[in-house]
Parts: sequence; C-alpha cells; structure tokens
Amino acid sequence: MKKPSLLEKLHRFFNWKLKRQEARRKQLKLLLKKLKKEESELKAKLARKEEVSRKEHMERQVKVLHQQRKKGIALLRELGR
Amino acid sequence: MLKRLFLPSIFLILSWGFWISPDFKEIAAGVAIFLFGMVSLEEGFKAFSGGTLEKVLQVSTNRLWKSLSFGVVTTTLMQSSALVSVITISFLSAGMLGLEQGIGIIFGASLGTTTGAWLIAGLGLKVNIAAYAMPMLVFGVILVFQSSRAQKGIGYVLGGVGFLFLGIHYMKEGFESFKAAIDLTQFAMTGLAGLLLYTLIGTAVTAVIQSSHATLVLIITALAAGQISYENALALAIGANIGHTVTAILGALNANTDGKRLAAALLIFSVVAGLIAIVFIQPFIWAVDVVSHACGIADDNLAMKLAVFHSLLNLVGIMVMAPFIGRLVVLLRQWLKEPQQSVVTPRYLNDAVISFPDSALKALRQEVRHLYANSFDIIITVLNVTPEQLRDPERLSSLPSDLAVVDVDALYNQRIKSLYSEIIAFIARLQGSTDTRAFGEDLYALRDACRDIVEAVKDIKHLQKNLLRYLASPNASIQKEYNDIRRRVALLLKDLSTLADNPDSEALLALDGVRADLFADDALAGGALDSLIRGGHITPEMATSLMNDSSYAHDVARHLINMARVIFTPAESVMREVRESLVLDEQNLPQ
Repeated sequence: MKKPSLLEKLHRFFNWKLKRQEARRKQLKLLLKKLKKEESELKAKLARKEEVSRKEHMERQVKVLHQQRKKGIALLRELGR
Repeated sequence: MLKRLFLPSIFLILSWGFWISPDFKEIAAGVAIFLFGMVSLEEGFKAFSGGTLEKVLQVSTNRLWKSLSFGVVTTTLMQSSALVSVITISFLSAGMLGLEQGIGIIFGASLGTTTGAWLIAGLGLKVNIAAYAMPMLVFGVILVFQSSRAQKGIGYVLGGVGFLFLGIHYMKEGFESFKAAIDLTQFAMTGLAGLLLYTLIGTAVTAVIQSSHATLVLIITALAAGQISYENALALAIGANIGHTVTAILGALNANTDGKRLAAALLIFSVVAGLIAIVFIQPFIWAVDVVSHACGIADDNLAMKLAVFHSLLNLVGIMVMAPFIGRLVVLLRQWLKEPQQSVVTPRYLNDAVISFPDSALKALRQEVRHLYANSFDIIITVLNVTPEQLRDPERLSSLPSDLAVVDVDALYNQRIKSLYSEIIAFIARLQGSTDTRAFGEDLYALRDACRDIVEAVKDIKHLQKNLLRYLASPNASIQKEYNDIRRRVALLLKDLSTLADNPDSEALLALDGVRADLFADDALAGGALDSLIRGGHITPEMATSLMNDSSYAHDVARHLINMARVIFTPAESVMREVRESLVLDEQNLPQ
C-alpha cells in the first residue's frame, strides 16, 4: 500500500471533521460488538429455558437488540467501513 | 435607609474631592478605568469559559495540591480571583465540586492573584504602558463589535488589558503631580498603631472598591511616588488581602450553604494570614529582603518588594492553613448548618452560574432531576406502591388492590408547580443573559423534559379516578385489568429508577426495551379488550373507561421515557451521538 505523504498526514491530523467521524466509527463498532454479545447471551438464556416467567420480555429484548444492530450496521456502512 | 444614602454620599464626597484636587480626580479616574478593565477582562474570559475551564476544573481538583495549583494557575492567567471564586461557588452550588476542593482552589487563587502585583510593580511602573494601552483598546473595541463569540471574547480581553494599563498610567500620573502639591508621608505612622491603622484602611478601601488589584495598584504607585512609607504600604497590603474577601462574601450571599462556607473559609484564611503577618512583621520584612536579594531585586525597588511581600503573605497563609483544611471543613459544617432541604425550592439553580453556560446547564439538569424525584413521589403515592415494592419484581406482580384517595392537585401545587416555574424562569434568565446558541438545543430539551414531567403528573391524576373505582370493584376481570395498568406504570418507574442510578450512554438504548415492553403489555393490544367484552366479563362502559385509562397510562409512560432520554443520559458527546443514532423509531419497535 502506498504510504501517505506528509501533506496527507498533516491534513488528516488537522481535519477535525474526519477525526470526529473516525471517533464515531470506532464507538459504533464497539457498540455493535456489545449489542451482539448481549443478544447472544439473551438467546442462550432463552435456549436453556431460564427465567421462563420472563420469556416474552426476553424475546422482545432480543428483537429490540436485533433491530438496533441492523440500524447500526447500516450506519457503519454509510460511515465508510 | 442607610443603603439608600450610601451611593449619593459617595458621589457627593467624590465630587467634592474632584472640585478641590485635580490630582485626586486623575487618581480616581485611574481606579475607575482600572476597575472597568477588570470587568471587561472578566467578560472576555466568560466567553471562553463555555466548557474548557469547567472540564479542566473537574479533572484537576481531585487532590489538594491539584486544586491549590489550579487556583494559582487560573488566577494567574485570568488575573481575577473574583472570577475563579464565582466559578468555584457555582460548581459547589451545582454539587459538582466538594467543599475541600473548593477551599483548595480559593486558597490557590489568593496566591495567584498576587502575581498581579508583580506585573504592576515589574512592568507597570518601568515601561510607559499607556503607549501599549492605546493600540490594545482600538483593536479590542473593533473585535468586540464582531459577531463571532471567540472574537468578541478576545476583544474584551484586549480591551480589558488596555483599560488596566491606562488606569495604572492615570494613577501613576496622579500620584506624581500629587507629590508636588501634598506630602502624604507626613501622615505616616510607625509602630503597632500604624500597622493596625493602615491594615484597617487597606481593608476598608478594598471592601469599597471590591478589588484587591486596584488597591494594590494604588499602594504600589503611591509607594513608588514616595507618598507612603514602606512599612505602611505593607500594612495596607495586609488590609487589601483581608478586604478582597468582601467580593467572595457578597457572591456567597445568593449561593447555597457550601458557597457560604467557602466564603467563610476565605475570610478565615485572610484574617489568619493577616494576623500572622502583623505579629511577625519583622521576620516578614527580613524574609522579603532575602527573597528580593535572591531574585535580584534592588534594595531601593520598594514596589517590587511589596509584590514579594504580598506573595509571601499568601504563601505563608497557605502553608499554615492547608494541613487543617479537613478540620476547617468539619468546623464550617458545624457553624453553617445546611437548612432543611425543601422539596419545593430549587436546590441547584443559582444566579451565580448564569454567566457560565456549561455550569448553568449542569445545574439545570440536576434541578430537572429534582423535579422528576418530586413527580415520582406523587405517582407512587397515587399507585400506592412503596419504593421497596418497586425494587422487588416479585412484590410488584402481586400488589394489594387497595388504594387511598390522594389529592393530586394539592400535591401538584405543593411540589411541582413552584419548582417548575422557578426552572422556567431560570431558563428565561439564562437565555436573556448569555449567548445560548451553542447549547440552545440542550436548553429546549430540558424545558421539554420539565413539560413531560408535568404532563405525566396530570395524566396520573386523570388515571386515578377510575383506578380508585375499579380496583375496589367486585368484578374480578376489570379489577385485574386496572391492576395491570397500575403494575405497568410501576414497572416503568422501576426501570427508570435503575437508569437514574446508573446514568450512562447505554440508557438511551435500554429505553427502547422499556418502550417495547410497554407496547406489548397494552391492554388493547392483541384483541384482549374485544374478548373481554364478547365474553361478558366487562360492560361496554367499563371497556370505554379501560380504553381511555390505558391511553392515559400510555401517555404517562411516553412522557416519562421522553424525559428520561434527556436527563438520565450524559450530555453531548460522541458516545451519546452514536447511541442516539441507533434509537428505534415507533415503526421499528417490536410489537
């Protein structure tokens, strides 16, 4: 891969808009990982039939997490990666 | 009566002084211009305090040495201990700073403010600073008329420094010509009587003009012109050090108890430092000579030696008082007791914070949470649910169906209305006094959150009528439906309490789960209502009541969730922004 020139490096260093976008992307990636983990934990609990009394609630939470992740993935694509 | 006569008397005395002595007029004009420069400088720094200063304050005050250094550095940079005191008091009032840290900062500020004397004595008297003042004033005023907040801020700072220089110049000129007319040294007093008298004069003058900087400039210029003796100048400086606490005391009058304790701590500090200096004046004079010699200050440069004395005075004060800050806090808490916390009066709103957008916004946020806490109490009283029951999901699922009649209107008037009005009035004052463009959205969001809280209380009032009626009904089906509505609202309060205890960015997304549960539990969802009517379990009249009340319960939930989005999540940050973008719309929410 071609190394970025000094000018490009400087541009990147002082471009706050780019920096903010990069920070958002990093945060989003971390958040998606977290949501995925939460979703799979809830699914595992449902599969083991733990907390049967709260089954419906847990199923709904799985759906909510799934929808949020879907929205997040679309946003990540928009942000570039 | 006395208060009303004070200002005209001052005007009369000054006018008489101007009439008999043109030199006095020049000196007084110098003080006035100098004070105006201070006001302008403060105004300029306020433009930059929208965030940065507050953020630094929060991270750099967790240790005593840090808060002391913070006080020294910021006051040195801004040359205004009054501004640092006001920010500290506003942080204390907003509950974002402990009293120990506050005292550390304000002690540090006392030392930081002495750098002003160094600047005046070092630069002000040697260089023709009026030559620098003129261009600064011109550039400053041009910048003040610009629309950009930052440019305006720089303009005020430049103008402020310009006026300070000009003020010093006039005072210097005044004393020079005064010297030719009257010799003030004939009033010089030696010994303890002189020391005490001049200390009192210094205290009184600083208390009246409310700026130790201005008094010190007067002392230094008078000393340089040979109008007062060195010994008397030292006493005047001790007095100025005590007198400058008046500004903090006046600022603390409107502050909460911690603000008052802080002002008391500053007063104790200045009096203790002053007493030490008076008792040990000879060792102090010796120490000043040693330090001056080490710094290369000439023996006859009395102005610089006075600056050294002023710094030493505060340094000794800090060294003596710093080890006792913990004990001082305990004593101050005993002397100045916290008044019984009222649920109806604001706890965090304080006009001192209005000039600092970030602090004002934080205080406002805390106050809206206070308003929510009051509404929470009303709602659980209506639902007849205790906080203990809220914490235990098992107990929530089997709530006893007895309810007591609660006068929601009376509770609303007592615990919500006046606090709500105070918050709205504070927002209006905030909008009127500072440039709210930078945080306008947050301000509107907080105002909307207040409205949501009020609406939720009003909805619960409507809900109460049928809750009372149907929970006491012999019809088990309608009783169950109403108990379900009650349980749903209680569950929501429980979820919100969990979020309130752990406010973080995740709360924004967790609220989606709460919303989804709420939709799904609706009595009208899934045709539950139709089957109840068809089965003859409830009458059509009961069904319409249930529909209306279900909608009230839904409104309570909607309002409270909207409110929670604003006050239980951190303010603007990348983390919040990212989470906000994942919050689900109504149509994406799983039913």
